Amino acid sequence: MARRATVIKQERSQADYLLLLDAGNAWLNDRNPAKLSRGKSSVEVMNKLGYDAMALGLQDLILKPEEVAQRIKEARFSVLSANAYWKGGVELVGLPYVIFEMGGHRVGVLGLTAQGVREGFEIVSPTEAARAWLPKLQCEADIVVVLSNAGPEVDRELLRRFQGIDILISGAGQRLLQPEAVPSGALLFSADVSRPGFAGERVGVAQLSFDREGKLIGYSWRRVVITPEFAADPEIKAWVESVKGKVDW
Amino acid sequence: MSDERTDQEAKEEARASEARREIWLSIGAFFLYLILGFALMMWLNARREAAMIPTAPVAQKPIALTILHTNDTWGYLEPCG
Repeated sequence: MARRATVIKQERSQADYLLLLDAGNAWLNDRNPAKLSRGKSSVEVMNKLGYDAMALGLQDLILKPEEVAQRIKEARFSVLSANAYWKGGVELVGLPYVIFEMGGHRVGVLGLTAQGVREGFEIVSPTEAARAWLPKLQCEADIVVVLSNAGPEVDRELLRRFQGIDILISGAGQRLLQPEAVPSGALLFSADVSRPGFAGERVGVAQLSFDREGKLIGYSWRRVVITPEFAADPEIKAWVESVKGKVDW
Repeated sequence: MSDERTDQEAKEEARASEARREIWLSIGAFFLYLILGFALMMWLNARREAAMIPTAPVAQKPIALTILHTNDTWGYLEPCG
């Protein structure tokens, strides 16, 4: 994570406008301190790295509802899902979308979670949620990003079915994907695939050019593999050291 | 007799005329009230709808936007960089 911080700092120093997004399954799995802290350590480090928004993944909703609510309170970034509800199906767990003002443009980011069963939550179809929320988002934003944990197959379906998506950032895939452009002009990016012992090793870097109307006119994308050649950011490294072995969260 | 009847008829005619005038005035006032109420509702509704229409985004200039994205970190602090 300390080397990820270095990558982020480098990119920030070169960008006029930058968004740092996470496509979900960020908070915990099989390792401490995330497991022990019930995702608190993950939110803490995401705050330190300056994340702007994340989509809730099914893996994040392994937490109990009260733990998720607490993590959302702690997050200094937007926690998004247009299709994950608290039990009862009335109130969304996170925000359906968020809008960032950047250089006179409004960049709207819609969050989606994979449909599945989690105790204390009701997760409905991401496709139906996109159908419901995209028109509203498109009225309010001139650049539309979908931050999706629904999986690449659903993501491709979304791009086929719905116009007006500029960028779809995909998580929860089973294999590494190359950038894909669909006939509508939208782009699909995915940074990483994880397996036990190996997670969070890659960062996607999309450099996008939009005209004054918010139309995508050019892009480049690369996957940065965070190898030991990247220097560890001292502040984050010190923080990681400080929470190793911490049991009282 | 004839003059008395004529006078009586004239008074009744005048009362009837007054009653008709009041009825017509009431009907007119009622319709005026309806029209004004309808116009007021239309005006308020138009204002509400105008307020509900999202402001169209007005972009000033082209933008170069960088998006850094991660996924499936699982809360790992190490060995994830």
